[in-house]
Amino acid sequence: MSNDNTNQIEIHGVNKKFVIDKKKVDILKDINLEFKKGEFICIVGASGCGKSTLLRMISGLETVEEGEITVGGQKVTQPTLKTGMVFQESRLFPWSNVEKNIEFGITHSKSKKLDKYAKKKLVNSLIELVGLKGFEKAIPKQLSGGMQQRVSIARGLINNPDVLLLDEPFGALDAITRINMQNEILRIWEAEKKTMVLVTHDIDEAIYLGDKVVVLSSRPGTLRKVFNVDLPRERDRNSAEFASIRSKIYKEFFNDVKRKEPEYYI
Amino acid sequence: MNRSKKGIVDYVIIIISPILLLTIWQVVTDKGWINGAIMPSPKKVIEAFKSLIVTGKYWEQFSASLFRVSIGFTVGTVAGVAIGVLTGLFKKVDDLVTVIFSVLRSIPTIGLIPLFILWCGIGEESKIIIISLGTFWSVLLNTQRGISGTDAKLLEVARILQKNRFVVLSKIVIPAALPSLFTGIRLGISGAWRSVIAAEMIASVRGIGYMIQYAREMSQPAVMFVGLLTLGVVGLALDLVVKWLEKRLIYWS
Repeated sequence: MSNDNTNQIEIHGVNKKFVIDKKKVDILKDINLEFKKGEFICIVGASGCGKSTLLRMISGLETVEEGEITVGGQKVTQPTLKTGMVFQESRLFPWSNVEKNIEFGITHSKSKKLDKYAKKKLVNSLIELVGLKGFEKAIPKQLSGGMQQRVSIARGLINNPDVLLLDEPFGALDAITRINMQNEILRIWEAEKKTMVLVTHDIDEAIYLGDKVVVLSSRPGTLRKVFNVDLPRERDRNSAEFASIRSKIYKEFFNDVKRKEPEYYI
Repeated sequence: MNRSKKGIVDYVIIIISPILLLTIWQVVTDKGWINGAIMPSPKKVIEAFKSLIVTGKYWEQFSASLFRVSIGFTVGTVAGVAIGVLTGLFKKVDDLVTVIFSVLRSIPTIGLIPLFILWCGIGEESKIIIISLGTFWSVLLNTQRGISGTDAKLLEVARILQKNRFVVLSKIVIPAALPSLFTGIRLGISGAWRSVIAAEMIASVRGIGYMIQYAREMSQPAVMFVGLLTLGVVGLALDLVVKWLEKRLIYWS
């Protein structure tokens, strides 16, 4: 479903090491990926495989020491407003209401240009987009987990970024809310035409949402395979095509696990 | 406490034990089972309270204590918040003062009373310094804890959105520190109340602490009890006021 053929995100030869207990540990190794403009990308991997680290590197929150990541042709060195981010925890300010939380997303320079009325209009349009009309004055503790995540998505979109990065955004939600939110994010994606990169450990979620599903192996995270999901939306999780992609991805994971030494010995 | 609404029965249960205590106290002293010279009856305490009010002596003592506490608490809180913000924000400042503060903090405020009398005399200054110190440490510690304990995840949101330091401070760090700051203020106000009484008992010619001490010398146990009950009621009232404020200001927790 890509809009045109230019690459929005390019990742070339990226390695990442963390220092743990004074030892350098490989987190990501030799990652090469290209995501097209307007694509919905899902990155799946076991926990600890470095998928969130990769996303944080794209966002500029983690430094890129080896290799190069570009977003919209620009080398990533620090967070930019071209990239929005939604975290697993909604990360809202508990003392601010929905409006204020979303308004916080407006950047300093843009905030100066807009008057009160224009800001309110902008915030309201996002509240409408994420389906929270009527909850403008509610504070986070009055909202359910799914609603909090909607606020977080609105805040991530308010600067009209080219790319929205989502780090396990539905990981903490119950199964039913999760499926609702998956449909919501697809609706928003179709309405806003952003490039979205979503990290998840839920294979079904990845197949349901993504144009591409990137499978990472564990410790260090390396690129196992990229699956193209050409199924038309709205996708049927019980269809034969869905199941066949699912079984291919499962196979990647099980092969990965089998090759590994056990993590503990009895 | 998140209990459901109280019914009449609950209020009766709450009120029954103090009434019972007062009744027993009255009966025991009336019957002469306890020496009235060291334990006055509730009636005698009330009478003493009335006469202290009528002669204006009560207000004289009470206002003296209240004045000292207001000044001392304010000074201690302002200093505690200011230094707490600095040490909470800047690790280097914290490192600079940590040893000195840890030692000073461990000295009970009451222990410093003679020193401040030596330095400032027995006037208002020494008492106000003592009260300020009685407030200062808990406000400082809790402010610092609140500031440095700001959720790093919220700070990351600000980083992604490229907010400047001023916005981070005013929109995230300060509000995040407020609940902890209030804990400090609550401890601080009770510390202030404790310190004023101690200071007045050791060296003063006015104040509730002085009144209690003087009543002992004059063998007026009823006046002593008026003073003690004042301490209890005022301490409770101060705590309730801060709690009430906290509930309104920190509506999100």
